[in-house]
Amino acid sequence: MSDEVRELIERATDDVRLPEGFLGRVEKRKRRREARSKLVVIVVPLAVFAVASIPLLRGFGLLGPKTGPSQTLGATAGSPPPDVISKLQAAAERLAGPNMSATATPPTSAEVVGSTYAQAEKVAMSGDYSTGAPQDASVWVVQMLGDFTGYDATSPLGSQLPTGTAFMFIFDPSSGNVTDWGMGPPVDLAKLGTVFQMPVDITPTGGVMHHMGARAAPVVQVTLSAPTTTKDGGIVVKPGVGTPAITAAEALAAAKRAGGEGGFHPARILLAYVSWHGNPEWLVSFQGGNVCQISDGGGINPSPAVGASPMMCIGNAETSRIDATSGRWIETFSGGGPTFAPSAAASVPLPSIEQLIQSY
Amino acid sequence: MRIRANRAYVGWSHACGLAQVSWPEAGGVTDDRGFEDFYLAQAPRLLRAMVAVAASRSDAEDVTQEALARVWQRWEKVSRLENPAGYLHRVALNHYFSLGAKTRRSMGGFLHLVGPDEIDGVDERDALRRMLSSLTPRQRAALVVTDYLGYESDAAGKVLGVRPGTVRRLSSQGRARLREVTKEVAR
Repeated sequence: MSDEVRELIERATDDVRLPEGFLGRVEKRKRRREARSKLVVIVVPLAVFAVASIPLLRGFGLLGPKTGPSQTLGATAGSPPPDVISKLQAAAERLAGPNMSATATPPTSAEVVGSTYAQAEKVAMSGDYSTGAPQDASVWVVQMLGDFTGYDATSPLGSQLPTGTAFMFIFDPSSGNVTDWGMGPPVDLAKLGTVFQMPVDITPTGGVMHHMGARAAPVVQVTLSAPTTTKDGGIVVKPGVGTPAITAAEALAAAKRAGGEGGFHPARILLAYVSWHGNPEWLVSFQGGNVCQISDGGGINPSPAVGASPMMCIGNAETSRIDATSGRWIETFSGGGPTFAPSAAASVPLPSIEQLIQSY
Repeated sequence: MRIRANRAYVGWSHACGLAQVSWPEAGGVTDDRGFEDFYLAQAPRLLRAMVAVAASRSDAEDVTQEALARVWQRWEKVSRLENPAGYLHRVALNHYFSLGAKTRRSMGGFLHLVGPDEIDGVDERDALRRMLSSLTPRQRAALVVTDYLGYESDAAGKVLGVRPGTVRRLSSQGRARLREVTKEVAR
């Protein structure tokens, strides 16, 4: 029987191949793990020691009163040129505002320093590894202090929003794009070079302007006309047979109870009665929202529309499987990306059940 | 992709605690080049094994990536183990079952529509995978470790974090269940 089992497993998985770029994704995870380890092992004890030392040193007169960065913007060599300053200010206002509570006190100035992308990521982004720009690209790092909440951050549904007392972003002047942003404790940008003070005009709008308003999403029932399957997962989805025991409305209610609506207001809801592995099921897909996740990226929309969120996420559909016999929720999956801001995603809902299943 | 699964494996993750790993050390390479060779040799097999255990391509990819990342991070030490592959398999299964105890989340995974000529092959694989799906995750893991990855009971117990007797019991139950399913399909 052992040989038969081995043969069964080999035949059941003979279409399984390492996807393209798999090693790169492994390396990315490894770097993230290393960055997290370094943060815990090095940054936390150092931060505790540093914070504890400041009052003591001040008491002995060994440390002067707290001062801000000393260089005046535009008056010293190394300062960003005027056209870059205006772009940095615009980016600061576009990014920071939606990530501050509407009741928070906005910063009036930002710290700016020139650096290479590699160094900027290392210092300002806690060693995060990404490919937003070439490692040796000249970039500008901007930091603002205040109470920030990551309303636009990529985070799993149901998790707490990230917060920080500093908001940082990296701007690549050659492309005109913000490559990275984040929030956390303040970092010492002087490690990167001469720090300049830049006035900013931030309007906190977090949780107010940049989320889709509630709406009555149109519900559309679609019919799968031919078998659909995965390239690699072997999941066979066929048109539903006969009449389901529970109605589309009951399936929709079950999906909503299960939280399938996710953290967004859908532009459209698609329902399809299918046979999933032979089991009669409803697929209920909430579409047109902004489904983000940490693990596989997300990022920045380099050119968001006016009033749109700057976030770029990996999906715009969240789909639940509901047992068409019992009405039991089975699972929820999301995908359909990459797509841009909620407002952009809302204008391009997935048109068919086949594309819906493609995101599984 | 993200999946909220409705399964739980409370207790199993404790049995697979990483702290119990105690592979004897041997000489080994310590650089990234050494890891790349290890990756090329082990990653495809591990992914197939995890597809069989997890019954989900996306979960399998997630677990495989995580296990390889953890091993790479500790490669200097792992490469000196007598059996780095055993350690990798242990980490992967441990991670998979620990995920099962929490909210399961899957990443990646893509589908496409297949042409009519591909449907037959898909149906056969689908049938085989459904046979595997009729086993419990622990039974699948035991069969994959012993029959597919080729571990003897003692080593399989180390990989799975359970006693060798437990491996034999799970494997025996799994094979019996497969025989039943095979007969049902034949009828």
